[in-house]
Amino acid sequence: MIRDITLGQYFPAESKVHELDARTKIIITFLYIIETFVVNNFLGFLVLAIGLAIVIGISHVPPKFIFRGLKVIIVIIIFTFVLNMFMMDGRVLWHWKFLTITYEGLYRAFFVALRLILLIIGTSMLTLSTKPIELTDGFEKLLSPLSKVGVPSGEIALMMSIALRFIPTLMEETDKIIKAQQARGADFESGNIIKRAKSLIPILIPLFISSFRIAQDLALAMEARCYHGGKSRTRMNQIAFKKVDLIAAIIVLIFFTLATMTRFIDIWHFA
Amino acid sequence: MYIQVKNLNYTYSKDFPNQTKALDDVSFGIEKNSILGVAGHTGSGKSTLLQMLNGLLRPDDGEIFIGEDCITEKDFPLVNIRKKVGLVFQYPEYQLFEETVRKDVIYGPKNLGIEDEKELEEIARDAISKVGLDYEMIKDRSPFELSGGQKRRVAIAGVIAMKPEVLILDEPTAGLDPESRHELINMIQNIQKNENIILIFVSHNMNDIAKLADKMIVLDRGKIAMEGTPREVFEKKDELNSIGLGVPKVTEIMHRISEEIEGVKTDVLTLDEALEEIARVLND
Repeated sequence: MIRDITLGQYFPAESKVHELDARTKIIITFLYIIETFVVNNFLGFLVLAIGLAIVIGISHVPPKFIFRGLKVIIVIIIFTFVLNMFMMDGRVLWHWKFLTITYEGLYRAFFVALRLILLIIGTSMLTLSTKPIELTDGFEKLLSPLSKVGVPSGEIALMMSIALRFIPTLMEETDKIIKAQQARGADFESGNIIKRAKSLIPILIPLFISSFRIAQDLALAMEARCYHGGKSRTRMNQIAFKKVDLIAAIIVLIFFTLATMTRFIDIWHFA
Repeated sequence: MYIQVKNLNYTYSKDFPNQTKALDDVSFGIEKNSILGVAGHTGSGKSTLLQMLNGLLRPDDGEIFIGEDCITEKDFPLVNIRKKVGLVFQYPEYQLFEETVRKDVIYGPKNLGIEDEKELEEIARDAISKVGLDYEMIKDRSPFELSGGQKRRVAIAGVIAMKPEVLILDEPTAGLDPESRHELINMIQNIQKNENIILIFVSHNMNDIAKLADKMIVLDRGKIAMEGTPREVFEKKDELNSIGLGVPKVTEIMHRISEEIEGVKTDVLTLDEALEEIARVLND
């Protein structure tokens, strides 16, 4: 289960999507996030979903791999779905004691769930198709204008890349600890919610301790190699915009414009 | 054979491009009251095998029998596997979490349903003294303020406290200095002898395997590459080398000598045997 989390993982493959400059992908992803909130109807989502499907197709990342990542977040999606379903006022569809499902609530629930799914899959395409090191370099370059006004862009980028880099490590660590405690007869699957929460303590404490240990080791290793960040650092592989980036940007912008335009086409009269 | 492992197969990330066959038709048996050494490289399937013996992983197909029980059967209760088989992972000290050593050691027994305080106290005392620590001195200390070697002993005590019939240790001496390593090996040997349990241990260190094991298996890319007593296996030095593993230092020396002098026996596992053999050759 814990191994199924694809959040922040990189999927090595050779594709046009992988080839793109990290900065292009970061900006596109950023715009995409905004776009999913700008869109206010299902038609817009359809446009975004088609665009996303094309990106996934080109990227050579197996859809199975992407959906496996969704499996873990399904709880959150269901939670928001249920919450939205019962919380909206409007035309009543179904009623039982204090529970009421309205037409608007159901619509809203589907809408928010879809938005979440699109958000998660779309943003995970960024990390799936970009090496962490490229991602860092991209962030650093994008933030570098801000360093003139005192924003430590190098450090911020480094922090981000360390966080990304250690997601799989911590997952692995968690997996190991869970197994070790299971071998000692721990049971995480039965009992009421309080008992289950309590059963997490034997996992969380060792996990905290090992993350401190990992952090300390990393700091030591960086110091031993004289890391001091800042301006004087140079890159072995300079990143540069290419023709692919321009083409990608244009195509993506067309899709975003289309998706935004759906706001003005009123096909679902109740929305 | 008390433990019988039959045709285990397991594949990680099935149907994905990174799928790897971790176990490929693995079968072997272990007699009661004996020690099995498992050697193999990282990625040879050792850990996968150990986790199956403890019910943490279920094989794609194949069976494991412990006594009469088939623990790979779908409805075999996990608690019963954990009662029978105690598994100590690599670097077990990283799984300590309680405020005191005593509490940490009784975590396992409590999970098995033992609630009587007196009984738990007795179990903790027994387990901690078995790993060679002073119970009264250590029971109320935090496990995090102990030394590395002590932490590991406490962690092992946590599994011994569950009184398993089969004790599995994954690289029990990893990361220890030679002195602690030696002590730990002796301790493990004593526990096995006194408790009459089956001991399975994984090690990179061929000296440890030569010293402890009655029987050994060598895993290579998910398959059993060699099987037999350490004496039989270490005889085939070239075969082991081709897998990227070595033989115990003493055996290595005897192999070197035999290259120079004909008629020297190479199936030697301990220093005493080596001395005897060298003396015999010199006298001839």
